[in-house]
Amino acid sequence: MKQSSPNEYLLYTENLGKQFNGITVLENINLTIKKGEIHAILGANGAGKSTLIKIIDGIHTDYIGDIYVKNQKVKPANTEEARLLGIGMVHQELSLVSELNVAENIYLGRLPRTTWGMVHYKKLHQDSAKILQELNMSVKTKEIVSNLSIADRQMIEIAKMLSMNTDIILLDEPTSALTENEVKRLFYTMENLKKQGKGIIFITHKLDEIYATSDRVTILRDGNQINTINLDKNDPDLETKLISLMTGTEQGEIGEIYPAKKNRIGPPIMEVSNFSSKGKFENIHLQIRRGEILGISGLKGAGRTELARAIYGADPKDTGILELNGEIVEIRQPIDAIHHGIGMVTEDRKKEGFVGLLGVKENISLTTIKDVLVNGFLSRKLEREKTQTYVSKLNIRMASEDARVKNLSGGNQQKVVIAKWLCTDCKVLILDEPTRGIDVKAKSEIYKIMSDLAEQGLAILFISSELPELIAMSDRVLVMSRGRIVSELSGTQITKENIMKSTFQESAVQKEVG
Amino acid sequence: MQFSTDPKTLSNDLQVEESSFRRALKKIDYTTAGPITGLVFIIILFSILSPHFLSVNNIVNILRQVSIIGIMAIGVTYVIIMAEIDLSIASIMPLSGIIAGAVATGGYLMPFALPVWVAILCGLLTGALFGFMSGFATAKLKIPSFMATLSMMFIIEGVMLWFSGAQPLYGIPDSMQWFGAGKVFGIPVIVVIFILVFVASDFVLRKTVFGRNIYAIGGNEEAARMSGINVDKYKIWVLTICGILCAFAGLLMLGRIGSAQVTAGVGLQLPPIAAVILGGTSLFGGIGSMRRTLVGVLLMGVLVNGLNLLGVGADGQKLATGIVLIIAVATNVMGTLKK
Repeated sequence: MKQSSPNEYLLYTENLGKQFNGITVLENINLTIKKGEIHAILGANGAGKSTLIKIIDGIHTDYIGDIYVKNQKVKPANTEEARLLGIGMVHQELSLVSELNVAENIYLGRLPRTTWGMVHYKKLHQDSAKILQELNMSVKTKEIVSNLSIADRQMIEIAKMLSMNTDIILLDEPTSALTENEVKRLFYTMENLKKQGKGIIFITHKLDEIYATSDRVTILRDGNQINTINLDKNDPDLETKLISLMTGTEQGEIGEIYPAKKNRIGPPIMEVSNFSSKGKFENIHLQIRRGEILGISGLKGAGRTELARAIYGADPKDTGILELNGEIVEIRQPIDAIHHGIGMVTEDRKKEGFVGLLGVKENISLTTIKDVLVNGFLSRKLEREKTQTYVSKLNIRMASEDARVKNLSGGNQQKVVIAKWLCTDCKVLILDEPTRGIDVKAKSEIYKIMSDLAEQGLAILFISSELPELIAMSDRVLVMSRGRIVSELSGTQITKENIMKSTFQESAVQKEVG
Repeated sequence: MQFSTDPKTLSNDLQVEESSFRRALKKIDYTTAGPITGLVFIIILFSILSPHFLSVNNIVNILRQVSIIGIMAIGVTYVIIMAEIDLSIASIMPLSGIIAGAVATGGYLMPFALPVWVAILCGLLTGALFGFMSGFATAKLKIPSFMATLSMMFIIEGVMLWFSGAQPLYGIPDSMQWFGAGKVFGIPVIVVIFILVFVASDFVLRKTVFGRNIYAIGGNEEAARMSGINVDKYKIWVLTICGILCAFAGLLMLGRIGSAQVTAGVGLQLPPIAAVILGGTSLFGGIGSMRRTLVGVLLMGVLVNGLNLLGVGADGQKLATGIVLIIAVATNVMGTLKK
């Protein structure tokens, strides 16, 4: 859909796409970056923003489609090559070597040399100081990075990118760790770079930052490029427009993959009050009932996973009381949670969910190994029988019960993890992103399992970044932002628009839930 | 969609042709089959090269030679499957022997002699104590087991030198030497004990909750913890058990050499670990078995014995052990990579 001549673009992509394990995460992206432009990319979690710029930066190399830099077709094989092409990136995760000093970090891998081949420290510190000055930073170039605040480190990261003097600059949520003042300095620097004719791709979750800086904005949803629009800062409907583009309005497909909601909600079973953990979440109150699916929405870093882990005892909390069936219980580690009938399917199943080297049956009996003992010793026969029950119940596809779980597909791995909890008599099940990275068919099977479990009276705490599933499955939705619950939605209030509004509007009315 | 002439895609198509052969190769479980094949191979080789090799006497001899390293290897197998390591095994072994010997004879710093059964108990408790300390340091103080047990190795050696004054101790009671030197029905007691320890440990690993959870922790500690397994407790127990088994080996050593020697453990720090890895147990935890350790121990024992019979000296034996070890680990790693 390019109408203007491509000559004016510093960088453009043609039908760029990417798959992870056969799942399309990005499709047909036609992004154009002009000289002297700040181009924002907007989208919910998992919309493909980071994937997109990681392709451009040479981190993901097995993409589909083409990238053109200054009208030359390029295929950066790593970040080094991307840099030679004039692409520099500031990562979302900090990537500094904390034991080296500021100057050494800025020029890491590109240290200036003397004629003897030694490090030219004088030039190194002079050049670094110049860049820091441009950023209006007072940090000394000889300071060890581990002594710096997170915000300063983020600025060093930006300084490092500046030192590369690239024409195309990728910024992946650079402001998330910065204070207001530093954000202003960053925007000022961005404006300067823009005047120098550089092209900047800017990813952020904050709409006001986009208004303050950007010329154009590309909206991604579910890996698709929904639209690219010029930002008309005088348009009063801009915010509504952006949110509706981000969320999409069509809802036709829902009926197919989600089971019908049934009324099955019983009495309250678990109540969490005054849960706080410094820097993670604050003063959380929530209640969940038997047979209820309670959705928790929010952006990455809003404190959802941290809250769930604290409830489950995987991480310590500062304060908070947990009541089960009206009785206060103390949960310090996962084993306590399990004793009280709380299970958790973690966000990162490979790291925390299953033991990849063990077989399906060994993994299913991890939590309930005592059920497969005969006279105190493991009975392979009993274990096999138990496994068979869950395999057919959850439709787990595998070569045999002894197949190593690491060799199964993501969907089947997740079913094994869920099976691990089904065989305990748990009353509350926490599901943290249970459908991440699995295909649509397995997803719909997992929704069915969730619905069946709720019908049997299990209370499910359902954390998800995918709004469609959250909306379709949840009886109630709590929206978290910056470690707090900012709104509670139930019934017909559960819509994409409402959730997005609470998530993105900083001004959302703080509402106590309890 | 357009047809690609990209060489990468073309080679992918070609691979389909040859993959049936490759698939057959992939099906072989190198980690299990490799060491057994190796063992059978060298047994056949040595029986052809040396007429004495397959004699009953020599077979019993091999078993007697491998028993002490074998029991230490069994102890460290628990540790390695749990993805930890114990470098203090060859220090616990002689110290336990020295303590037991001193208690039984009233030697060293002991003012009087006690009954043999008390001496044996003291020896085993010594092993348990130092194993427990390594386990505590690993589990609770979060010191990597490599460093915790390396430190423990030096600590034990210091204690041992202080206690014994670096002197050997003779006059170990016969009833105590019986474990290392006696015979029942013509079979050395030491071999019987090795077999019993092996059978019991094999059973523990395969049939008990304890054994299963060791695999779970070694395979994925974080997942094990999230599934409600008390990981710290297991680390302490496993290193304690390893300590007890090494103490056991130390008691057998008393009878083997007829005295308590400070130097009894010299050069034995790594052979038991090498035997475990040689048998196909993964150094990274989660994979392995006592049976594999048995194969590894026998492989090393047979190799040394056979070369001895052929008149190859210590130089050639060490060289051969090194080469076999590197081949075994290479096949093991390749087997793991394929999965």
